[in-house]
Parts: sequence; C-alpha cells; structure tokens
Amino acid sequence: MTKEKNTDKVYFGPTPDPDLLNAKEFWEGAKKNILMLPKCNKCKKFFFYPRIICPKEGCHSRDIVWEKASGKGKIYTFAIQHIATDGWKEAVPFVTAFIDTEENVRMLSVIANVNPEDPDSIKIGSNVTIKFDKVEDDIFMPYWEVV
Amino acid sequence: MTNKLRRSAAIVGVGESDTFGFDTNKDSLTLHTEGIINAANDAGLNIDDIEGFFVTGGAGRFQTIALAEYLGIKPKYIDSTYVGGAGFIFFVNHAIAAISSGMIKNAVISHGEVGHSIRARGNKGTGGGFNYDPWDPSMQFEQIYGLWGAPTYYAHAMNRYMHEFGVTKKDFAEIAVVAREWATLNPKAVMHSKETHPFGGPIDVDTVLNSRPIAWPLNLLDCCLVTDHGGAVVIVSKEQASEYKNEPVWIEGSGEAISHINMSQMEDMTITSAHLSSQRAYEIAGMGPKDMEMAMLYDSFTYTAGVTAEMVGLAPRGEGTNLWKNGLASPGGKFPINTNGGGLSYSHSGMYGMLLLIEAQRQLAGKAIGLDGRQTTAKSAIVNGTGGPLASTGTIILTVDR
Repeated sequence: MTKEKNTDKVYFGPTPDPDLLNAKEFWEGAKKNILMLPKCNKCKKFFFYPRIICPKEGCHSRDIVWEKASGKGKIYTFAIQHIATDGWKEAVPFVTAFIDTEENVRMLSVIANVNPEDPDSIKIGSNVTIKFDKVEDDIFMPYWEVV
Repeated sequence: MTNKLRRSAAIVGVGESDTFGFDTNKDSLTLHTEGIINAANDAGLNIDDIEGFFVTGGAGRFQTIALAEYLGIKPKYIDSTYVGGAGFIFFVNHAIAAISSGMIKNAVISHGEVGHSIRARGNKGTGGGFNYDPWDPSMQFEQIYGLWGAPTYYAHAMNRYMHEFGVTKKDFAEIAVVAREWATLNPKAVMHSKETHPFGGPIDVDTVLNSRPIAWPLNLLDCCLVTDHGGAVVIVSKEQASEYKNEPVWIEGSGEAISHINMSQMEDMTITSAHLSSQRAYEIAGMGPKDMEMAMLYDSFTYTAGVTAEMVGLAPRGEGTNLWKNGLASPGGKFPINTNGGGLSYSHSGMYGMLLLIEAQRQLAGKAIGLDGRQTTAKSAIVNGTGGPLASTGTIILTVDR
C-alpha cells in the first residue's frame, strides 16, 4: 500500500505532540523502536492508553510501572480507509487495525504490508509485529506488519 | 411491584424545524427554535412555562444557556449532557428523574444542528475547526492514525462482527434498502424520491454494494445522511399529561449506559452497551422485547441498527439483520423498524436521537406523516439511541393507552 506509493513512508498523520507527563516512556521507547507499555504494579495487568490509574475493575491502583512489550500481537479487526483528512489523504486507501498485543492490550494503528485493494486477503487473527516510522528526529510512530 | 418510575411522565408534543435537509440556510439556533416552537404548539405549552430544558447539538459551548437566552426564557432546571446522538434518549431518562422527584413538572428536549452546512461553509469564521488537545488519548493514540469520524471507527466493529457471525455486507445492505422503502412513503424524507434528491427513491442491495467505499466494509449507502435538522419534544408529569392537546405517549421505562470513548477500550466490538440500557428500561417498564410492536433503532450505519436489534433483545446474536431480510421491518411487516426512513434515508444531522423520539411519538399517537402505508398500528415501541463510536446508548419504552 503506502509502501508502493512512497518507498519509506508509512505514517502520514500529523506530527504528535507527545505527552511527556503521562506517556513519556511510550514515546521514549518508540525512539529506540521498542514498545513500552504501562502496567499496574498491584494487579500486574498491562493496559493501554497510558494513564495515572489502573483502569481494571476492582483495582484502580495508582502504582503504575512501565515494561518493555514483546512487540507482537494479532489483528482483532481492521478497516480500509477510503476517505481521509490532512496528510492521510495521500495514503488512501490504507488499512487501520485494532491490534491485540501479547500483553493483552488493544491499540489502534496502521498495517503496512497488506493489500488494501483486496480486503479478503487480510485476515482477522493474523500475527503482526510492531515497526516504527521516523516522523521527526525524536519522534517515531508505531505501525504493524503481518508476519 | 410496579416501579415508581414507570409511566411517571409522557411525551405530549413533538416538532421539527420548519425545513430540514440540505441547504436549509439556517443556523443551529434557528433550527432549535423552530423545533421548540412547533413542539410547544403541538403540545399546547407556552414556552415561558418551560421548567426543565435539555439541550445538545449545535448551539455552542454553553448551548443550553445560549438557547434559553436566544428564546428569552429562564428554565429552572437545565442539562447539557453530551454523549453524541444518544443524548436525547439520555435526556428522557434524566427528565424522568427530575419530573418524578417533583423538581420540575415539564421538560423540553431540543436539538438543532447544521451537520451539512458546517461542512459546506468549511468552518469559515470560526477560527478553524475543533480545538483538539494533542494529549487527549483519543487524539494521541487513535485519531492521529487517520480516524476522522464515525465511519472510520464503526467499520472496524462491523468487520469484526462479520468475522464472528459469518454475516455479510449484503446482509447489512438489506437494512439500507428497507430504510429507503420507508422513505419512499414519507414525502418529508430527504431521500424520498428523485424530486427530493437526485439519488432519492427506491434502491436495491446492489445499489448499496456498488456505492462508493467510505471505510470498508462500509459503503456510502451503509452510512447515514449528514443534513441540517432541528427538533424538540415536550415531556410532562403524569399528573399533567391530560392537560395537553395530544393523547399522552407514556414513557414506560428508560435506561442509559456507557462503555468507552476510545474504541481501543471497547472490549467486544460486537456488543454495545444497549444490552444494559435496554435491560434497565425493560425492568422499569415491567415489559420485555416480546411486548414491543415496533422499534426506532439509531441507524447511523447499517451495522448500528443490526447489532442494536440484538442488544435490545429483538433478535438472537448474529441474527439482527434477519429482521430486515425477511421483511418483518418493512412497510406492512409484522415488526416495523425505523418507519420515518431512518438516519439512512430520512434525515440525520450528526446527532439523530431526537428524530427517533419524534417518529416514535408520531407512530404511537397515530400521527405519522406520509402517504398510505407508513402509519403503523403499533401501540408500543422501543427506542434506542447510540452515540459516539458505539460509546453510549439510551433506551426508552413507549406505549399508548388506546
């Protein structure tokens, strides 16, 4: 998809203004091409997006730590975007997906190495691995590729 | 024992803006005002007597106060709950609480929104669009990847649903076809005919499947309209219900529920919180799905209506689309659904919940506008609104005594 249109570019969105208070570790990890995830130090469950409280029912601890994730997951579901705004206009059609990581958190991202013209060729449940696209010197955006 | 909230209030009047659809050349305050005046006249309510005022959509950040100021009224109880298009059903739930507690005797719920015109005007004069907080989790971790609006999100849920239940795009297309059948009976429907819109009039499954892709699996005709529209309903306490012009349409029960706002937090995208909001409403009503004779189910997308039918107990899991496929939901069918033509073919300005309420009242009161065949014989209805990215749901159960 996007790879064919522009050999390197996968992420076409706005340059993020990374939250360096609550999500600093996430963005610092991305710089090193590592997926860092927040984890509750009390119930030991990962969660995403980053926040200052564990969102799990019956826990809600504020003892949050960050751990390196495996960077592997499965496609929970996907969609093929034909209408887009701003930079993403250049990328249509492109594939967005909710990825369930091995740590059991769900993240929205794009999948780079699939064919958006052939939805049937993209399979829910496929194994995916995380990659990072350099947006600016210090800013890297995660995306995923089917293994 | 009967729940004390049951039949504690009734809808006694409804109204829409004088015009709606595309190119109304009206602002949202005008649309709100026309809806309120028409609803107040329908009920026989003087707007100076409005006690509870429930507003969302269009009228700026201080919307309820702004609209009260515009009308020149000073209601004593206000609510601006913002939960997307389900908001108007939430407002009924809140109005029931305020009325049954004795704090207010009547409530006006209002909607006015220039969904079409705001796009057409390109946000001119506003300083440019929404002022998003870049640290908002939704912005930082979802929208930034190119998710700009409802279809970009809902497509993910529909795909997951198709994967789990083996239901196809064709099955969902039936919902759009039936919505259009209803619209062809309703001269006020935006997609009524070629006279009302170049692409209006009857469609078939292939028309839907061949319409341009928006966010696969959603094609254009799987998606609701984006129009300008205003509307209002008048709700009064049971003690006052007989004092108004219309036969009361009783609110037997109401319920609301939320599940997430970031779609990554939606545990199972084939299950909306409507199973909870409907359960709450049924419980108050002392009724169940089998007691319902028609339904108004928010059809922001074909998917929304299909999955909601299951959530509110009208169809088994994975079989929601069957209600449309087998003709039950169609004009003349045994279980009419979305009898105005729905958000898909009647009108939908962005937050459609108000139009669900208005149509349900009109059907039960025997006042459905349109040509022969649109008025049903239903004496009970379930109304369910869905807001945000399948984020919020509100359900009410309505009946008439006839």
